[in-house]
Amino acid sequence: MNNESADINTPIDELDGAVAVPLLGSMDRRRFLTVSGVGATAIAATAYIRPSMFFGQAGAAVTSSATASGNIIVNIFLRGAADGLSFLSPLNDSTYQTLRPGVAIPDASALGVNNQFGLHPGAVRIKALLDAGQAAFVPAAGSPNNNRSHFSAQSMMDKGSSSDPTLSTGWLGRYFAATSGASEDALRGVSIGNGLQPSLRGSAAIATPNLQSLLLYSAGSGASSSQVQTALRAMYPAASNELLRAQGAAATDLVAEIAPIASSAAAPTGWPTGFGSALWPIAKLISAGYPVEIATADLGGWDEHDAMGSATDPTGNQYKLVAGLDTALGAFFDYIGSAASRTTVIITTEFGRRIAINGSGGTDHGRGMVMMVLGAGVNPGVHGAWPGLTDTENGDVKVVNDFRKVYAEVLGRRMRTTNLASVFPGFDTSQSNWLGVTTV
Amino acid sequence: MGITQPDDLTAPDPSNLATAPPAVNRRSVLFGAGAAVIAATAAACAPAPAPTPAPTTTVPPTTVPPTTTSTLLPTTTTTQPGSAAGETAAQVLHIARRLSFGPTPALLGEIRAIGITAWIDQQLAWESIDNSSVDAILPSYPRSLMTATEISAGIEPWRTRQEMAAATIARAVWSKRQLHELLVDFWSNHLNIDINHDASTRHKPTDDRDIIRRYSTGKFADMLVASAKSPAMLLYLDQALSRADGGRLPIENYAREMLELHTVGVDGGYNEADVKEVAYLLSGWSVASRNDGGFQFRPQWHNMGPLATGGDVLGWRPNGLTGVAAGESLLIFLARHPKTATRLAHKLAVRFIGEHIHATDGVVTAAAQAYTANDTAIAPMVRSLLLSQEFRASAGRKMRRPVEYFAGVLRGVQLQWDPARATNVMNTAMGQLGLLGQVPLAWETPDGYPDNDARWTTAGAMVARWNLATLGSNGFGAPAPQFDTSRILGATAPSTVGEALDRAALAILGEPLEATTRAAILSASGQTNTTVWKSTSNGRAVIAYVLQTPQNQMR
Repeated sequence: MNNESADINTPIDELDGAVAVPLLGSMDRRRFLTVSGVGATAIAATAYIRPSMFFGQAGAAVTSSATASGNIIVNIFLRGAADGLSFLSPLNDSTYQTLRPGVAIPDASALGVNNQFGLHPGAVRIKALLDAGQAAFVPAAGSPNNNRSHFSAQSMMDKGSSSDPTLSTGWLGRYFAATSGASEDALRGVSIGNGLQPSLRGSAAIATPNLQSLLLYSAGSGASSSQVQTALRAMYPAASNELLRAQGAAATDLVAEIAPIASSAAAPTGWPTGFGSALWPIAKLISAGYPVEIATADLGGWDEHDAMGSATDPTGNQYKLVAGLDTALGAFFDYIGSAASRTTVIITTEFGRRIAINGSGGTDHGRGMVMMVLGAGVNPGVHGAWPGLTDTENGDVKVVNDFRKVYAEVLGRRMRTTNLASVFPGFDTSQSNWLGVTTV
Repeated sequence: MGITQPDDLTAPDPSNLATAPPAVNRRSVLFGAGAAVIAATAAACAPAPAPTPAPTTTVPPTTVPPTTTSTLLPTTTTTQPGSAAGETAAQVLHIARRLSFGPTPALLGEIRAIGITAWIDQQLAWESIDNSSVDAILPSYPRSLMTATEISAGIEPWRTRQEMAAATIARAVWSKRQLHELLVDFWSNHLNIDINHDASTRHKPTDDRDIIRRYSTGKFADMLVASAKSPAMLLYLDQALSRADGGRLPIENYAREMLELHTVGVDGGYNEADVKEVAYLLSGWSVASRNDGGFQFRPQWHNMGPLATGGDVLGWRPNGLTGVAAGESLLIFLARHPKTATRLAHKLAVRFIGEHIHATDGVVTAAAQAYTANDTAIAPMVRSLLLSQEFRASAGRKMRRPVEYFAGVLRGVQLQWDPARATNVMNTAMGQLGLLGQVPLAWETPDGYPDNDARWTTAGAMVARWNLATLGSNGFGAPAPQFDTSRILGATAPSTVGEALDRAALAILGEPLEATTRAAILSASGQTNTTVWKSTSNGRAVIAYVLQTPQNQMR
C-alpha cells in the first residue's frame, strides 16, 4: 500500500478525510462545566454564550466556573533575550545614544510614552494600546540570578524562582495547583507550541501547536474520525491503567470540545504570519467562548549578537522582530473583541542585552530587560525603579525590578489568586511588593 | 482541505480509489477499501507464501527474517506459546514489551527460543549481537558518525540535531540490540546534554558514541570520568569556561549538577561549601576549542581552592593530588559512593520496573550491592533488577513514553528500513516527537526527560498519539515492500472482520485485544465478529485501531 497522502509532511489540514467530529449524543459531560450555585452567582457578570455543541441543544447559555475572575492571562515569552532598550528607550540620554551608534532609537523617532521614555518606531500597536490606557512597562526587570545563561535564566523565569534547582513546576502550573477544584476542564490552560511552556509544568494544560492538531482525524485509514472517536470513547474507560482511563476520556472530551472550531480554524485572510500563527489559536479559543484562563506562546529569535540594524529602518533585523511581535499583538486584540476586557497579556524575556553595541552592530548578553503588561486591567505607563545607564552591572542595565513582582501582581489582581505564596515560594508576594502595573 | 461530509463514514484510502469498487452500503463497509490492494501488493512484490499451518503448541521458527515472517495466527487461539525454558506466553510478552521498543513476532520468537534469562544475558552482551541493520542505516545520517571537527569542517552543522534524533529513532526501531538501546536512552538522559544547546551540538555525536553507548553496560566510574571530559558536557554546563585564577570565582554549574544529578543526589549529604570546593577542584577542565577538538586541561586556570588547605568533600581529600588527577580521583570516589549506588539502582528500577518501587526496597538494595561488589559495573546491577521477582510481577506497570510509542508503532507495522526514505523517517520523527514533546537528545535541562507516566499521559498528548497511530498505520506512506499489510493481516485474506482484528492484535500487540476494546472497535464500525471480510475491506483501518488501543500504550 502506498498512501502518500498520509505522509506526515503533508499539512494536517490538507489531509483528505480530516473531518470534524459530529456531536455525540452520549457525550459525557462530567468533566466539563461544573457550575455550583455559589460560583454561578459570583460569575454571573462574566457569563458568556458558548457554542451549542456541548449539550447538543441550540443556544444553551453556559457560564464558566473555571475561574472566579472570568479573566484570562496570555503569557508570552520572548526566547533568546530580547533587547529592552529596543522596546523602551530612555529619552534625552546621551549615554544611550553614544554607546549605540546606528542602533539606538533616535529621540525624534521614538513613540512617546512619557517625558522619560519612548517606544520603538515599529511598536505602533503597543503604542495604540498605551494610548487606550492598556499598556504598562517595567524596565530594569529581571531575576537575581546573574549568570547570563539563556538556559538557566529562562528556566528560572519559567519556574518563577530565582535559584531553586529542586523546583520542578512552573509558576503557572502552581497557579493551577493553587486553584485546583475550580474546574477540571483541560482547556483552562493552553500552551501553543510543540510542548508545554515550562511555566505550565505541574498542570494539566493542553500543549498543541495549533487547533487542528486537537482534531481527531483518520486520513486515509478508511474509518471516519467520528467512528474512531466512538471506538476510543468506548475502549478507553475500560483500560486497565488508571491514567489511560482518565486521560483517554479527557482526550475524547477534548476532541469533541474542540472539533466545532478546529475543523474551520484557519486564520482569517490577512492574519499575520510568524508569531501571529501562535496567537491565532489563542484568539480563536477566547473569542469562541472556551474557558481558557491561562494561554502561553513563545517567540524566539531575539539573540541579536550582530547586525541589529537601525531602529528607523523597517528592514533592519531588530525592527522586524519588534514589528512582528507588535503586528501579531494588534491582530490578537482586534480579533478577540469584547473579550479584550477580560484578557491581560504579559510579555517577558530571560534577560536584557548589553548597553553598548559590540563590534558587529549587535549586543551581547546583559541583565535588565523590559517586561510589558497589555490589555485588561492595566495601569498604563512605566512602573518600577529605573537605575539609568551610568550606574550599571558590568556594563549592563541593572536589575532592580524582580520579575516575580509583576507575575504576582497580575495573578493577584487579575486572577484574584489569594494564595500567591504557594505560587512563588520564598518570595514576598504581598501587595506592598507590587509595582502597580494593574489597576485595583 | 478535504472535509468529508459527516455521513460519509467510509472515506476510502485514496490510494485505493482505482481498484476499490464504489461502496454500496456505506455504513456496512467500514473496512470497505483496501483488501484488494493488499492482495495485489502481496502478489506483485513477493510470491505469496503458502499458508503457514497455525502454530498451536510448537515454538515457531525464529530465524525467518521479518520480511517474510508470517503473522498468520489462528483467530480462535487466545494463548500464545511459552518459551523453551518453560516461561509462559505472558512472561515472554512482558519481557518483549519492557526490554525492547516494541514486541514483534520475530522478537517474541527469539525470546521463546532460548528463554528469558538467556535472552537477557544475550542482550546485556550487546557487542556480540549482529549490528548489520544499524550499520546499514547510519550512513544515511552521516553526522551521527562524525567528530565535532568533521562536522565543523562540513556544511550545515545544525543538521546534526535532526540526524542524531533520526539515528536514535532508527536504532530503536531496527537494532537487534534492543536492551542496549534502552540503556543508552537511560544513560543519555542521566548524563543529559541538550543537543540544541548551541555550543554542544557538534560535540554531541562524539559523546553519544564514545561515552554513552560505549559504557552503557560497563563501569559507571569510567562513564562519569569520560563524561566529565566530554566537550559536549563541558560546554553544556559551562565548565569549559570556568577559571579560578587571579581571584576569579569558578563557575559552579557542572560541579553542582554532577553531585546532584549524576552521582550522590540532592540528598547525598553535600552542602554549598562542597559545591564550591568541587567547582574549584575542576577549574581548568576545558576544551581545546568550541567547535572541534577534545578535552583540554588548562593549568593556568586551575586553582585547587579550599581543598588545598584541608577541606574535604563527603570525606574525600586530595591527598596531594592536583589538576586532572585530583578531579578524576573525586569522580571515581563519587561513582563508588553508596549514595550513588542506591540512587542509580533506584532510578533504573523506576525505569524498568515502575514508579511504585522505592529506594529502600530490597530489589534496589540488591541491585546496588551488585553494582558495588563489581566496582561500579552497570551490567550486574541491571541483571539483578531484570531477574527480580519485582520485575517479573510488574507487567502493565509502565506506560510508553512518546519515543517508545513512536518506535513501537513503526515496529508494530513492521516497517522495513529503506535508505531512500531516510529523510521521511527523519522528518516524521522530528514532527511527531516534536508534537509529543520528546525529540531524542533534546531535553533542555540537565535532569533528562522525565520518567513519570503522568507527565506524558495528558489529554492533548493522547489525541496526538491517536493521530500518530492513524498516520503510522501505513508506515507513514512507505511503499511496498517496506510496508506491507500482509505482514500484519496474513498472506491469505482473513475470512471475517473479527479474524482480521485478531490477526492484527497478535502481530502488533503480541496478544489478543481486550474484550471491551475489541467490541468497541466492531461496534463503532457497525460490524460484528462474523462480518465477512471482503476484497474491498480496509486493512489499514484495522491496523490503525489496534495501534490506538490502550494496550498499545503500555510497555
